[in-house]
Amino acid sequence: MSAGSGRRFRRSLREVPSGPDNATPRHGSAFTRLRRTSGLSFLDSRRPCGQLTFFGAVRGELRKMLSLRSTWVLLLIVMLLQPLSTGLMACGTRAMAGLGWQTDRLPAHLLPASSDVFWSAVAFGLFPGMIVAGILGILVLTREFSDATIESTLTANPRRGMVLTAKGLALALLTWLAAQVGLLLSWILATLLLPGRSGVLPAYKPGLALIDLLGGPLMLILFALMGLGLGALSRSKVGGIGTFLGLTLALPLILGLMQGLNSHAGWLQIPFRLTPTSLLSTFLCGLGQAVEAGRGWWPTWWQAGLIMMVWTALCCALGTLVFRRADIG
Amino acid sequence: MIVVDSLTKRFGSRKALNRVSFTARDGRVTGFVGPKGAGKSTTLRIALGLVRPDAGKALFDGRPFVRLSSPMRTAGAVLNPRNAHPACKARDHLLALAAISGIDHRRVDQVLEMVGLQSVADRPTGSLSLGMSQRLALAAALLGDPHNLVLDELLDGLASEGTERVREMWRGLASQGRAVLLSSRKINEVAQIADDLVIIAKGRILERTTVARFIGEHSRDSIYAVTPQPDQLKAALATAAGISITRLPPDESCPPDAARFRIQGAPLASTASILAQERVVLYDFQPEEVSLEQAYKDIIHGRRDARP
Repeated sequence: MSAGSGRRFRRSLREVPSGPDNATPRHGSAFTRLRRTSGLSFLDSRRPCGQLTFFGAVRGELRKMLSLRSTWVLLLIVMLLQPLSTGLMACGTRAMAGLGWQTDRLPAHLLPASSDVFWSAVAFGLFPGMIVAGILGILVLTREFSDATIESTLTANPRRGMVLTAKGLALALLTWLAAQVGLLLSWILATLLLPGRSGVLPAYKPGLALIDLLGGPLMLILFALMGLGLGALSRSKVGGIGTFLGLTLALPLILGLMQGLNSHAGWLQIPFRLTPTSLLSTFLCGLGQAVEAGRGWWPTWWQAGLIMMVWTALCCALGTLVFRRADIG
Repeated sequence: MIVVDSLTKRFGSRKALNRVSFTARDGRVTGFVGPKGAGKSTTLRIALGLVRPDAGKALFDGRPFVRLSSPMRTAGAVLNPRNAHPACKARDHLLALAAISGIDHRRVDQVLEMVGLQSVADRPTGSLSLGMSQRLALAAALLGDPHNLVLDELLDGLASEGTERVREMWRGLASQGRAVLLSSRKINEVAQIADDLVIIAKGRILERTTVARFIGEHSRDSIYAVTPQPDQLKAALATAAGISITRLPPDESCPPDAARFRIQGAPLASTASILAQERVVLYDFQPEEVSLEQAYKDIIHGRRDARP
């Protein structure tokens, strides 16, 4: 680019276009060439042509989500539920172990499980967090149907697949941030409250730490996306939340009850282990040590993660299929 | 330019649209008029990719809306006046839409100023009146400085001062070379702003014309007379050339011994003189302007024979 054209380009960035009434930009005017100076500059587009882009769609969804108080409330719940749950569990563990607040050592019979106890306390908050993340995922789309925002969304971006993917990415980013911060707070709290804070736990398992600290928030993303998929499938808050709670809470409960009531229904253990809640539990236990001898197949932590991804992919695929074909309004 | 070509849509057993075709040309405001349930909103929703047609297509500047690379630059639409989350601030709603197409945040302030909503920009949209919500929806449609505008029944809920303001704005936008497609149930309001007219009823296009031609064809001056001497009235005017006298069905306001007439093609003053000379008793005698609304109702109810 020549120096002259460079100067012309810089001048165009400062241009404030106006039409005949000094307010209406001329059609094809330079309004989109204005400099980007928003307070949330990371959300402003760098493309000056008003063209639809995927990253623009993600920025739009992030702006939309962050402009609503309900999003912040749900994200705060996801974040704060974790240290709260950790605190409760740590206090419960201390009480059950008969420890005073000055004691820093677990009783001998708990030492082999000290790592599991510690990381269970850290990750315990992910279970209620999973429900909240799923509800957030459902609301991200279904609230647009209930207040007709979907019409303005789809007239701004008529590519429904892109809209849903952008929502998914924005949702995943925010869920991950909230879950990761919450989990780190839980970790700090557990370190302060549980015995072993002065040194390495006797049964310390580095793999479990990585799985819980890094994998836990990723699992929450999968639940949030699963909610988004169910929301796209039902396009109603009640339907989406009902289906989500059915899959995460009612289904394992029903399978467990049937198994308990019928001695010949041992085979139900396998579908039980494939339910989303059980998969999260298996994943957070880590390293596949959840295998029970003589109880049939049980997924290892990474298998649980993969199966959970299949659940999410299935919900998202069905939701996308319905959302792309649905008549709006 | 917006081209709607043979759109057909069926909802269950009901045929909502039957080969609907028309064009909204650049530089003109096209009024899309029809009664409730005529298929106006369905047509516009199909054009904007919100509803799938069974057959036919709609093109914005030669391309389907869903395939546009810059949809907000090509078309702006207002389908529902309340199309923002009630808890979301007006400015945030527009900022989110602007971000999708990489439109600068200062454009948001521009469109808020254009529709006169700067003072309520930081209020939740749920607290705005219907008129304000409509103007906010219009601001959203104008964000991308679009070449085509699609406005569904936007006039119906606007306050009178707001109506005048948006009328001027649409005329201004059309004069800049844009195509403005405006749907409404009220032909009188549309006739004040539109250049072209498309009339739809029961999912079928009944008329494609210009507003000027429609007014020329359907507006007519006539005299309304009520008399207890119908035969004398007819006899008095029988010799005048070019006059048509139509006996109207009796209504509640008509005395039982009288008949109602519409006299067309006769000047008011000379008709009054003739009837006075012939001593015809009149209960009522007044000029009658057949409204556009009446002509429109005649068309949508299939009474084309009522036209002169």
